[in-house]
Amino acid sequence: MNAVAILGLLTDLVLAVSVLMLSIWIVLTPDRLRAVVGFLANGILIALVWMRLGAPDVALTEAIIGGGLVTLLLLGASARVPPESARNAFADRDRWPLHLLAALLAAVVAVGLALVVLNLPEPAPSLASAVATELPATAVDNPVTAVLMAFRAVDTLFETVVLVVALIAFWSLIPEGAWFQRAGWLPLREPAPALVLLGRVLPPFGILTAVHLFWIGTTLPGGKFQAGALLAAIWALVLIAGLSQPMAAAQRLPRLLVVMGPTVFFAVGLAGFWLAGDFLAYPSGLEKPLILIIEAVLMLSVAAALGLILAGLPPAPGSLEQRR
Amino acid sequence: MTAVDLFGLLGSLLVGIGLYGLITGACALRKIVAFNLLGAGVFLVFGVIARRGAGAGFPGDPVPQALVITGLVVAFAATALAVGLLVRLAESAGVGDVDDQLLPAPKITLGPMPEPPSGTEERPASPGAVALGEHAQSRVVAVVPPADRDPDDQTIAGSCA
Repeated sequence: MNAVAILGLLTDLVLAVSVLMLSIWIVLTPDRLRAVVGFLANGILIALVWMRLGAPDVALTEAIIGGGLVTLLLLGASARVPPESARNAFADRDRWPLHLLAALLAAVVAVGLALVVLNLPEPAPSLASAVATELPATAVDNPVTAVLMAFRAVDTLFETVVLVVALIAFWSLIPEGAWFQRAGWLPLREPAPALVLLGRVLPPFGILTAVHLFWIGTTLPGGKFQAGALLAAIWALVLIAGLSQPMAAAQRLPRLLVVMGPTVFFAVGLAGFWLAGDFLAYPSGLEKPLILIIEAVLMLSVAAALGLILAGLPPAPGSLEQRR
Repeated sequence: MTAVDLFGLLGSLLVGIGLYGLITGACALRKIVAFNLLGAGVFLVFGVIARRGAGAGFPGDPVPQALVITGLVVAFAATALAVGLLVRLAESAGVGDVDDQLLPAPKITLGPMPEPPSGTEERPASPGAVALGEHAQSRVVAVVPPADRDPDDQTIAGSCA
């Protein structure tokens, strides 16, 4: 084993131990705000693990969505949900048998899963060679994009529909009578000057990076989900800094943006019936332009859906939040 | 031990830690965080399986990798729904948790709207009392907290501050 391999293994070891310790700390720390901030750091570390596992596409998605956007949601919630009553802390002491049982159960599940992972069949079943054989037919060079947009396009289509359904379910929590009001989770009452400056300076670079991620997604790591999530994050930053007003659920533009992606994807899929003989089949010669069009529209839809979820819900009429 | 085994172990342990946190979490928000840790562990196991399937010039099997990307987006959507429910629960009922064992259950009464405060009849004593569905025309659900519950309870920073 040469020096580089040993160094790589050491890095992996440090990374794995860091993620493990941080995860235990997140679960055990008494302060829930600390747990949420720790979760953000954990997301970035896990993105590094994904890089070490040879999956840069997943690493990008984990860093933006799994780390950043989820943490933003949780931070917003921890500011809005009143702290736990002190009574629970006392009651917790009497619950040690439950904690012991839960720890035993978790240990059994973890050890069982570890045994399975360490004894996976050799040679590992893989579709890599099948993807490599069929890759030229898609005119796309990034195998992950090819799987998402061609080989398993139905999964991706319904996943974008899931995002629309999730937004509908989320919006169904809007208080009665607040449908025409703007979502109220993100804007700070008094954003710090540095934050406002960041909100002005970062968006052009963020948008450029997002478009770049989308554009290279067909050949290199990147794609619509990463680009859309980055756009949503930039939008959230602008909203937090108070430089722009969040949208109301009753406005037409956000609704149109959200359903546009799945609609275009579905239309191209249906057109495949008589252009290429099957649902979601792309006519030969037009694969790459069609995939790029779908990816572009989906990027906007993903950005709109994620951004609208991040913007949150309007305060209930008459609630404290609204009177302030 | 190879790096793939190491990360496989890490994924399994993350699932265990997330499961423990999900069961014992002191409040609903902690449970959501733990749920996301559990998800990260499941995704890492997927990543290990993808890495083992490396071949044909790819660093990993692209099919499980693509599944993880869609999975991350769906996990975000599920988290958003959970957070939305929690925040609305806190707004409408004034409680920050879904734990039903520690606090006495609030009485839910179905009936006509309580008299406005200008009337002679006294309103429910606690400020935590909330009339839901003020826009409903005839029937409302009033959540009346039990009398022994201290309204200042909500402001005391406790185990899950």
